[in-house]
Amino acid sequence: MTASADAELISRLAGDDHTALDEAYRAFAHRCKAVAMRTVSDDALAQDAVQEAFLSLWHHRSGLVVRAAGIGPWLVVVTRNVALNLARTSRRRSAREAAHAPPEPRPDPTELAVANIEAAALRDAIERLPDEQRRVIRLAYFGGATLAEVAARTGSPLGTVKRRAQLALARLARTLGGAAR
Amino acid sequence: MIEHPTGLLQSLALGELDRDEAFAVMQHADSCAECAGELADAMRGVAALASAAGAELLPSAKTAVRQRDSRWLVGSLAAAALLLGVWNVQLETTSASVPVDALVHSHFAHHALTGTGGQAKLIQALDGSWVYIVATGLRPLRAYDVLVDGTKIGSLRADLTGNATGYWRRQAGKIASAALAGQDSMLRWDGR
Repeated sequence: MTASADAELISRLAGDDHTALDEAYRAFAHRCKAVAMRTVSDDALAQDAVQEAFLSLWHHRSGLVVRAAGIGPWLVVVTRNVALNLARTSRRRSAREAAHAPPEPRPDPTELAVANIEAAALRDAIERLPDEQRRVIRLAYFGGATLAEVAARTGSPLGTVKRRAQLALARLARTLGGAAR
Repeated sequence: MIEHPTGLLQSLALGELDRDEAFAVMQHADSCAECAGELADAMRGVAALASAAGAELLPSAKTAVRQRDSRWLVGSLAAAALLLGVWNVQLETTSASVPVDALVHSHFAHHALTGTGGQAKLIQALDGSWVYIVATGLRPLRAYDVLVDGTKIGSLRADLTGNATGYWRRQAGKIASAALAGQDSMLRWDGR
């Protein structure tokens, strides 16, 4: 979705236009579902996370953050957060269902190629971060550590870790922005 | 003097906060330009990671394949519904379990479920071997039990717009009544 289309959708949402929520759902639900599935590995929980994120979008439609972040990034983050919370409370159930999950179908070769390109871009963007910022992202995002845990492990003040996280995320947003929009 | 939750903005973006904490931080940021800007930067970064990081894990292909199947089925159902002209509520569903074959190849009857909290129709095979519920005007995201002759045969959940559909196969036999029961609503058909 282009920036101008995103802005128009945000404007319609803020004007209580229900059809804008439907359009947002059609445009972003697929990506949100994929993000949620990576977090919970459970189709029903992932769908719950997506639906909660869209309800949340409706509740926050007039706020500044949706306007500043853009609908796609906002939804992806909220979906991931809901999914993380669901995963924390249903870890045992997820493990049990994963053990009985049917084998995954073979991925489409074209999607594999696109995925590989995106993975390479991600690795490159992370490698280009300053060392201390890269470490925060690796521990906090990929390692699942809280920022307080990162501070303890690296021996850095919590405020410094938060600042590094902020700088790294802003930089990744600029570098990988196309993937998030 | 305003207290900004500066230290919590990155935690929110990274998913460290529980729902109540996240809601409180978001509420503040939604009316504070300074925090909104910082949170938006962090959100765009996490969204970029979340969108690209999936490429390494490769589950997106599986999801995409499933959704393509779903869209095809939904399209088929809508076409079948238009051709058959059996109901007048709008069909918008992401359910993959749609009875296209059943609708096209079976003899069926349909009944309106009436009551409070929405509208629904029961479509059933004449021999009772399958039932299909299509409902609108329900509470968004609420779960509803489907009862046939007083026995629960399944449940369905309304989507964001309050629509829901569900399809169940069952042992053939006459159907005398059906209901769609929610927490605070009841839609019912009684053919006795």
